[in-house]
Amino acid sequence: MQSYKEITYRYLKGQKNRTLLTILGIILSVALISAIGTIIVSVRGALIADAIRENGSYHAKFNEMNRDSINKLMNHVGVSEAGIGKFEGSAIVQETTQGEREEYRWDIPYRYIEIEGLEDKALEMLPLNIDEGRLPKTPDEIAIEHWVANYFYKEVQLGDKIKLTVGNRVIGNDEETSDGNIIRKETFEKTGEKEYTVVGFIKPQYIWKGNLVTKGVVGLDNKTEEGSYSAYIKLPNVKDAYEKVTSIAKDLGKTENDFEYNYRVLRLYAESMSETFDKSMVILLLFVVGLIIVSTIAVIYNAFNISVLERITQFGLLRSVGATPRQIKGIVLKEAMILSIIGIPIGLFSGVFAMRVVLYIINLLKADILVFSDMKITISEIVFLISTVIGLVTVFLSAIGPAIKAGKVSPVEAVRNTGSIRKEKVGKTKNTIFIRKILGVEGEIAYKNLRRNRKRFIITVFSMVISISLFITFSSFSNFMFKMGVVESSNMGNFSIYGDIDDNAEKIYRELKDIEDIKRVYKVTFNNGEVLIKENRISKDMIKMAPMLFENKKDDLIEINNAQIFTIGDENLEVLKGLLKEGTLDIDKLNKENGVLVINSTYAHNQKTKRNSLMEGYKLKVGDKLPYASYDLDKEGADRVYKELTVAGVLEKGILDMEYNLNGSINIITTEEVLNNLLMTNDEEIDDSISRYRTNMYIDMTEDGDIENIRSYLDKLEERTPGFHYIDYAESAKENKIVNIIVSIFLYGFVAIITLISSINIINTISTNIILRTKEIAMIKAIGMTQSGIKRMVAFESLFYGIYATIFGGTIGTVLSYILFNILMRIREFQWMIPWKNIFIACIGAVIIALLSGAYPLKRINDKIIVESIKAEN
Amino acid sequence: MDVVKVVDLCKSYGTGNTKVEALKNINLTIKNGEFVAVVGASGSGKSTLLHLLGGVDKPTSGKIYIDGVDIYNLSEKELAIFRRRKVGFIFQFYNLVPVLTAEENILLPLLLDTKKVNKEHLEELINILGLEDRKHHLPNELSGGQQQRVSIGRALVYKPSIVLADEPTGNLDSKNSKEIIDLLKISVRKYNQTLILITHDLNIASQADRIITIGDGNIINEVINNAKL
Repeated sequence: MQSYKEITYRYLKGQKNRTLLTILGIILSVALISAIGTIIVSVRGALIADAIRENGSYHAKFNEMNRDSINKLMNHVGVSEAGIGKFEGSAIVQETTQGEREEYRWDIPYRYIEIEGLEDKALEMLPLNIDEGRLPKTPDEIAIEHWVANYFYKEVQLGDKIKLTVGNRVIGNDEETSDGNIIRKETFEKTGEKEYTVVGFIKPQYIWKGNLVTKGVVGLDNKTEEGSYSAYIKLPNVKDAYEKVTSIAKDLGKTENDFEYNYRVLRLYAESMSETFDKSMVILLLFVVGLIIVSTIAVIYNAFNISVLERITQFGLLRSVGATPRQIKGIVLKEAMILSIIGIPIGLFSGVFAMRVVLYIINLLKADILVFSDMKITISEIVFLISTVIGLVTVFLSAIGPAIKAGKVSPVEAVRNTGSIRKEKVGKTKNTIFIRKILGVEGEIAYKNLRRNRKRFIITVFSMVISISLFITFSSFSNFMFKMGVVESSNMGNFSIYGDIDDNAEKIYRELKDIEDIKRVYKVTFNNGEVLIKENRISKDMIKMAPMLFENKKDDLIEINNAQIFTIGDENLEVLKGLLKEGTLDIDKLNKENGVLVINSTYAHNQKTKRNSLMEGYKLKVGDKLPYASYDLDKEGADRVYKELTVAGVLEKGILDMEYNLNGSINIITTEEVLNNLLMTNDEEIDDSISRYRTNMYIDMTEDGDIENIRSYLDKLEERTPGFHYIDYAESAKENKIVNIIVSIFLYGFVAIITLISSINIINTISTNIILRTKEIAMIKAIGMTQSGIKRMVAFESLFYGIYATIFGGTIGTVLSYILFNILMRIREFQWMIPWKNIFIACIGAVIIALLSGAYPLKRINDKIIVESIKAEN
Repeated sequence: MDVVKVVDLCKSYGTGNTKVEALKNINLTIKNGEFVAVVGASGSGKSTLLHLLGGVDKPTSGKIYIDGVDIYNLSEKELAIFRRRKVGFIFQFYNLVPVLTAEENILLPLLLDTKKVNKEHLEELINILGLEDRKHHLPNELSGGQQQRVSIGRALVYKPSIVLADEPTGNLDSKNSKEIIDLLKISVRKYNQTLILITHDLNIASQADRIITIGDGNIINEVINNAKL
């Protein structure tokens, strides 16, 4: 051995288990921090990639340039890349119908394709994704949005030649019509006809039949000198993009009216981390990282503390041989350094690796969720640097205390050899005969062992308290995330059908149900009206938050406006089973007593914070009477007529887009018969022709249903049924589901790691408590305590620690969770509830881990022959 | 009556080259009420013998009968109870449970049996031990001599058949030593117990009824002490 410091390596090797446990603690926390940092950096990268995909990668676009300006631009030193485009004109697809014009409130004579000629360079920089075929290369080739192909007189296929009438749209001024609507008159000026070959179909960002003007791309006719061109440019460096582009424009004699920026992309590049992410999120981040650091410090401090305690005799020995306090301190700090050197790099790469694995799994689930398929896990030097620094600082802070303590050990400790009686100051406990009577002398000794040393007690309980609090905080964090709606948990089905379909509703419904690719069709009719509710059935908090909603009274009931009552198709009521809190879904019962199912939770507008928050605003119960008056039955000059509904069931929330009322009122679901009755009237004055329901339908596909089948059926239906429209949610529904899974992976993965770190802490502390008392335990066995008696004694100790830790940890965890809630509240409001379930799990879990931590070292002591333990040196 | 009977007792540690034979074929009987001193050089096997007699170690071969019972044939639980009721052990160091008071330490074997405490007997014992003033103190508040007295009290409280003492005065000054040995002798005589005591101190050994010398794992000498009165 060259230097006394080599003792460090021997010590570390000798205490293998503890050393490994401590390194594991360092790895986990550094991994967690670097994972968070990596995700943030990667998400930013993905956001930028996403913005580029949607808006293109160009930085600025110059409009209406002549040939000369274009040349100047392309040769400008400040421009690194440029692509040229030229607007060729608007081409007619088909005449619009009167119905379409009214529907979309667009007085436009035709459906158009606005044709832009683009050269290769420009095509690269623009967000054009090809579904089928390819992008055009020559001016007679065209690519259009694929769904528009159906709107030509004959459906267009790839390779077809189409002859288009091209011209200019002449847009008039806004005019106000007689009934107060604003329309913009538009006409068409033909300039010519041209034939194109369809070489590709573009994938639009969303499909909406109301998009009467779509994009078409052709190759650029580069040869003509005239015409006005547009140029898409890229700068060599995005920094100070705005100033640079303005200066380029000036050089060309152009003003700011002549160009536009690709705002979204530039902004993302330019923003610093704190600008990209909301301020609240930054606070959230710091809070989270802070907690990770605290838990790590707890683990490592404990580990070092314990290892010093175990070696007090040794350090005394070194001192008696002549080591200075400084040298002893140095040994402990060197141990910390070695553990850091091993643990931190592994932690850094583990974090990145873990994120890579998670992303790989996500991509396995479904590769074409755009944000995630763009996301590449980038190894950022800054993240590594910050994580390393945090790791080093954390370890140092944890080790310095024990190191100083080690240095203070006096040489006498080695020589005294009176065992650990002198190692710790033992305190007296009050009369514990009570415990002895109930739990036996084993329980009494266990309890006294707990209190024997204040410091030891505090450290042990502290570790468990940290573990419990962290678990409660982070698991309620996950719950909050879901509640906040970060994860879309509402399902809108695969397709929704809307429009003026009431007359055909029944027929359409039957046809849809017959299609075997369709699992369920919701025939939703709804109506708005006013309900009367007793004041004691309304949450006081909500009345306080939005008093103006509850001002009007009728007799002694409060008038609640904007109640919405829905039917979903009687045979679909069964899907509400899982949401039913109390009451029944029985159709006959509902019909018999005019029964309804109510949703007590609602989005109420908080006047102070100006945000909507979801809360349990009402407290209706089964059996309550609910007078309802439909707005459609209102008559001028007459009082509102209420019909009495009975609350037959209370739902946690609704389904589809009627989960909660959005106006602080009540959403109600009932049977078709009840709704019919509600809207029936004998009053001849009320116009029968105004439909009092509005009907929408939602379609749920079967798992392996053929979506094309359904799409083509719906398309045909749309053609022959005026007023029929549908929205295709299939893609976004799939994405939602997977985003759900992904966010869950992250959140729960996070909770799992924190749990792991906490468990290590508990294991370390408790198992050491026992190891340090090997001799004592053996001696008690020598006096005559049985093995099971010893086990009971140790188990009681863990149990007692658990009880103390539960009380403190549960409280602190709940407080932290509340603080977290307040931080998140600034992002989106929701109601806070004491996280009982999480508290329960955390406490039981901590106790179980404490019990198990004691079991292993105890087994080793129990298995040994008594006298060997007494003689053992520790 | 032979309260202790040792037959062909062997204890060895390790194997092969590192094998150490701590005891080789020990044969021994001790009568009820005898005071036996065990002497010998360091490492001779004295403590090993004592530990085996007390049931806190396992023999490699051979048998030990206490009160006619083959103690190494007992189950772990029975052996624990045996240790509790039949044997009183006094170690050289580290005798006491740090969190219990002197009185509680003394009562420990009884408490383990959830037996009701005979207050008279306890008072008597504490008085004999001279611990009335210290009985509510914790071990770290007691001097070395007081700690040893507490351990004697614990060893005697159940009135066990045998009291085993491993150099009980090794850490004490001469005045305390004398007191401790006197105490042991008094109570052993009072309750008619057998006392087997390891010591380096010839003064103490000379007070025993029998002196057994152990050397190199064997009994090398046995002296009946007629000089003692």
